[in-house]
Amino acid sequence: MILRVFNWAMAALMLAPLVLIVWMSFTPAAFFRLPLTEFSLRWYREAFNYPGFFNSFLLSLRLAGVSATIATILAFLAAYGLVRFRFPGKGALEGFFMSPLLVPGVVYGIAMLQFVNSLGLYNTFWALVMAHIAIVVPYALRTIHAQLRAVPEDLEWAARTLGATRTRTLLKVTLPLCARGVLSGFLLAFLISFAEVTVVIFMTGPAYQTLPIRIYNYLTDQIDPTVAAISAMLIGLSLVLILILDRIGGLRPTAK
Amino acid sequence: MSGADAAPAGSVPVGRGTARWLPSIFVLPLCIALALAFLWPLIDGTINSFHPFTRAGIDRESWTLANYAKLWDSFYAGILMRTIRVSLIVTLLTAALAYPVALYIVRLSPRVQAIYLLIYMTPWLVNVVVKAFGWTLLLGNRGVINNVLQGLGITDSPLRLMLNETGIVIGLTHGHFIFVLLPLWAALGGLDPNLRWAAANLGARAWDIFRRVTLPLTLPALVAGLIINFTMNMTAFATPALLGGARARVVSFLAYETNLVDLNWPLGSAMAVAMLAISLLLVWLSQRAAASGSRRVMFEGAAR
Amino acid sequence: MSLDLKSLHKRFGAVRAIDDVSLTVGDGEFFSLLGPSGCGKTTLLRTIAGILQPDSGTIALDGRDITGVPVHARNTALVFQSYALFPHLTVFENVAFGLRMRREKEAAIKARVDEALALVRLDGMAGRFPAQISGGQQQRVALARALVVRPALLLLDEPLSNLDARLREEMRTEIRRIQRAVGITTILVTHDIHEAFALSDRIAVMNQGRAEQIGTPADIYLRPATQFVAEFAGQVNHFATRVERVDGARLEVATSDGARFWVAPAGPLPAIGSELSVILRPERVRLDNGAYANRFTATVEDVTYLGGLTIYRLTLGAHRLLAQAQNLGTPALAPGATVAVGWEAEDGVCLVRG
Repeated sequence: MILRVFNWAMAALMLAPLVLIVWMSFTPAAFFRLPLTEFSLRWYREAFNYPGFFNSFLLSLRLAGVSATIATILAFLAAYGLVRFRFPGKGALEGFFMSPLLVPGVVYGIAMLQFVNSLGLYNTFWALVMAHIAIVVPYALRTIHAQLRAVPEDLEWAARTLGATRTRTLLKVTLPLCARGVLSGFLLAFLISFAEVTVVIFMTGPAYQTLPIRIYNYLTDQIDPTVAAISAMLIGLSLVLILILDRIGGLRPTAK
Repeated sequence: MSGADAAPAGSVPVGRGTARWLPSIFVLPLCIALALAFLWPLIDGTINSFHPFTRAGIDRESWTLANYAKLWDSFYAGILMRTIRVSLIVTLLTAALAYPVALYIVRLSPRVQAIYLLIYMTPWLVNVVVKAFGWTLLLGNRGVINNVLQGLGITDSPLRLMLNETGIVIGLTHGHFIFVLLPLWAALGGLDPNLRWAAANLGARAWDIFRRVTLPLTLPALVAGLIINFTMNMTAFATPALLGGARARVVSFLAYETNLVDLNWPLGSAMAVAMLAISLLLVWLSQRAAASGSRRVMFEGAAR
Repeated sequence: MSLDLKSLHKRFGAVRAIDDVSLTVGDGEFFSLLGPSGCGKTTLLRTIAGILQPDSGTIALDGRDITGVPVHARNTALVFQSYALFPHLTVFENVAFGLRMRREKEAAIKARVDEALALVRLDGMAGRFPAQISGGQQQRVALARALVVRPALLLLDEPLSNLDARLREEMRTEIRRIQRAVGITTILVTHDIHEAFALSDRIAVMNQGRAEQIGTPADIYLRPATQFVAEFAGQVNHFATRVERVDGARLEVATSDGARFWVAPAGPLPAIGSELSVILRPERVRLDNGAYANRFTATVEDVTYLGGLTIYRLTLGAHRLLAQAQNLGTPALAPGATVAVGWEAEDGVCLVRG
């Protein structure tokens, strides 16, 4: 009984800041005030009228889309190689592919800041893409790898005995069979990239402020519910992606 | 993906029938991408940490350990101590909060369990910056909590709940909760319920069952989760920056200032290398803890 | 200690897991709950242990009502089917667990654990972990852990089902030896008729939550109270008959297709015209020309050779008849052969139908 109430309280606490943001975004007042009765879309108008936010949103969308796509392709190929072949050094290679998970964002951000500058790529889109591919690839790989292992190899051999080449088999049999895993991997990669803050904040220049960075800078400056409107939309977007991911099984807690 | 080294029974051993180079077509693209975008920058940064910093920038001609020596200055050491203290408080708090939750949800129906896990997972899946903003609305001087407290006449002036260590603790506990809850939930779910009944049958009351059976059997998972949680607390950036601010600087915030305000990259790199070393050590410890857990699970399996 | 169950009921949703069970187990008795899976025997055992609460009815130990007493205070010791040994504790600590819960002195714990381990012949294993010992040894640890607390009741839930056939034999003897040595009232749950026969003083055969019959192994086998008990206790030939004629203590019965034979029911004689189920065990069907009360000629359909025994499938008119013969050196019959069969009136067990 105590545990049940405690669990409710904790679950409520988990959601409280998010619920509050959404609530605030629909009030006309600039500060939290009780009671919250009035309804207004004022801050949504302001958010859309502030060009910085919209440009940053487009940039984040583009960055997440490009990085997640490239990462998913790389991860699918790598997963296929890891699942379908045996070769020396495979374990080490897997470790290498997952290693970005072990490196804290701050550490990687500092390294990228200095690296990107020394290459003359500072303040470019592709520098961000590079970083985000490395960050999201382990998530995509883990998801796709798990799905690929569940596809019976016999099905591929069946296609091969029926005259399909390896490439055709890969595209016509293997890929459709683990489409769910590939899609989960892509969405997860997209979600992570879209929300990523730490690395980008270290390495990016003023011309490429992703949406989270724009919000971060705005927050260190001032606090008004314009951010609430933006944040509410971001929460909505995350929620949609999470629900899709959950539906297709991409968030099942797995034993690593 | 630790289980993946056991190749599926049917996988093709390279060398007969298939060309030796065939697997590389698949794994090489990712190898190259990660070598370029991940490994190289890290190595490059590590090298920078051994060069001296001068007015003109990095002196790539000479080598030094001065950057690392500087980390022991009392100013840096003080911030490191605060970071450790805050991280530890968060980790212990999370343990105390996550255990009861895990105990409760593991008894629910699988459907309800999934819903709760999703709820507890949301903080991790929602943008850090957005979360921090949400907490600002709650904890700020003109936020919900102070509003209510003052409205009810409990306090006269606003309580300082953020832009100090309290803010960091609240924000990080929220943000990294799932990393303790999830392994704990898995361990509790994998526990043979008969073990608890056996203990009760032998005279153990609820508290004794918890202390002597449930807790020891889930301890490896708990410890593994706590270490991961601690590591993430130590290296978190946006949450402490927005909820702690300059008044409660942590290591990552300091590293930000060093790299982007002072532009002292050698020192910044030395900080990065130190942070990386510490977190790799902690991850290794956590995996050892988890491994001792899987050995336990094996015991249990063998006893069936 | 003696155990008294009075009209226990337990439902899970629509399923009656325990349906009005009353029984008494005497002090020092070895009592078995026998039945197919899902018959409620494990539920009953767990109710006795206090893991489950009955919906109604009472459980009493030596006359003291313990129905509401929580598990940890019941002083029953349950040996789980999976053994439920604590994987993180050594053999010694597993056995000591109950004593520690009873706040015994360290010296007393040491002495009693050693004694218990000696009883189950596991001296020298005290420092091992459960995963480091064999299944049979785990079973002994579970037994020692249960016995060491000197419980009022020893409850065994399918304790032998996880062992291979040879070990099962051995442990069966072992359990009986230990139970006699300790003299503890014991309740065994099993689906294995031989295990129940070999170990028990008395048996309750359970079906769909009810105790169909309670009695000694011989009662169960020779004088089954219901067709279910008869069939569960071994192979049977079953005839649906009607009483045609009474002759002293004997009845002549007929099947629907006109086959007639004599039976000698125990107890009051049913009236002419009443419906009677007759159960005939295969070993009671003799394959010779003896002067039996019932004599027929049958045809051999199929022969199964089992070493010491041979099972014959016979046809007797429209009926199939199972016969079991000891192999005493006479040549076996071949399929298709005609053979004289017979049995005494007392061989058939009569059950009044409906």
